[in-house]
Amino acid sequence: MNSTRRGKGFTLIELLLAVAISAFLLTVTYTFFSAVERTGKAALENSRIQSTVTPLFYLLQRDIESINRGYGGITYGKDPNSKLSWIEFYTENCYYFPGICRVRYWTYKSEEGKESWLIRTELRLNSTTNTGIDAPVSSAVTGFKVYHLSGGDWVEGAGGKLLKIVIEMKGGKELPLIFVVRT
Amino acid sequence: MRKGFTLLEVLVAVAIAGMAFGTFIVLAGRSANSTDLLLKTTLSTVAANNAINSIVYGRKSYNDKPINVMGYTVKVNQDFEELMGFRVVKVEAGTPNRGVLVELYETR
Repeated sequence: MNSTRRGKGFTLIELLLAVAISAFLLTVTYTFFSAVERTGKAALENSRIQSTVTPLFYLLQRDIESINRGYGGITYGKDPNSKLSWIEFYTENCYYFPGICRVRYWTYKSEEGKESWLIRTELRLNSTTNTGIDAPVSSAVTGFKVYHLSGGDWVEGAGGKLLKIVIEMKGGKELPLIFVVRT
Repeated sequence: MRKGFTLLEVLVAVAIAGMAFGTFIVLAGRSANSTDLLLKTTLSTVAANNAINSIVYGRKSYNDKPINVMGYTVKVNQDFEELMGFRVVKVEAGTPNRGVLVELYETR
C-alpha cells in the first residue's frame, strides 16, 4: 500500500514549505514593485515642481526686481469677461527690445477651459497698442493674484516696495513669490 | 536520475533572489529619499527668499511660521546675527519632517 502511494503526491511538510516560499516571494515582489512605484511618483513630482517653480521664480525675479517706475507705475487688473488677472510694468529686463520695455503677464485659457498658459508679453517702450511679443511661460499655471503690503497686511493690488504674486497651479496648488521692487 | 531540486537548492535560490530584490529596494528607497530632499530644499529656498524680503523690506516676522508652498508645509524661522560688524538677518527654512534645509542671510 505504502509503495503505491509514494511519489504520487506531496507531503504536508513539502506543501507547507511551498506555501511559505510562495508567500515570501510574493511579499518581496510586492515590496519591490511598491518601491519602484514610490520612486517613480517622487521623481515625477520633483520633476514637475523643478521644471515649473525654478524657471518661474528666476524669470519673475529678474523682471520684477528690474522694474523701473520712472517710466510708469505697476498696473494690475482683471479681465471683466474671463476674470483672469494681468499685471503690467516697465522693466530693464528686456529680451527683445533694447533698454526699457513694457512687460505684461497674463493668463490664456482655452474656451473649453482645459488648457491654460501664463504668457509674458514684451512691448516696446513707446508702444501705444497692446500688441507685443508673446512668449508662453508655463502651461502649469491657471491664474495668479498680486498683493501689496498695506498697513502690514497683504492686500490685493500692485504698488509699494514689495510685490507678492500668488501663482495658481494646475491641481489647485499655490506658489507664493515675494519680490522687492527696487526702483 | 535527478528529477528536481533539493530543498537546500530551492532555499538558496530563494535567498539569492530575496537578496537581489532587497538590494534594489534599499537603493530605490535612497533614490526616493534624495529626490524628496531635493524637492523640499527647492521649496524651502523659495519660502526663505519670500521671508527674507518680507522681513527686511516689509517688517514682517517669522517665528516657526508654517507656510504653504505648492501643497507642502515649510516652516520658516528668523534670527539676527552679528557678522563682521554687520547686523545680519538670518532665515532658516525647512519642512517638519526634514528639519532645517536652507539658511539665507541678508544685511539689514
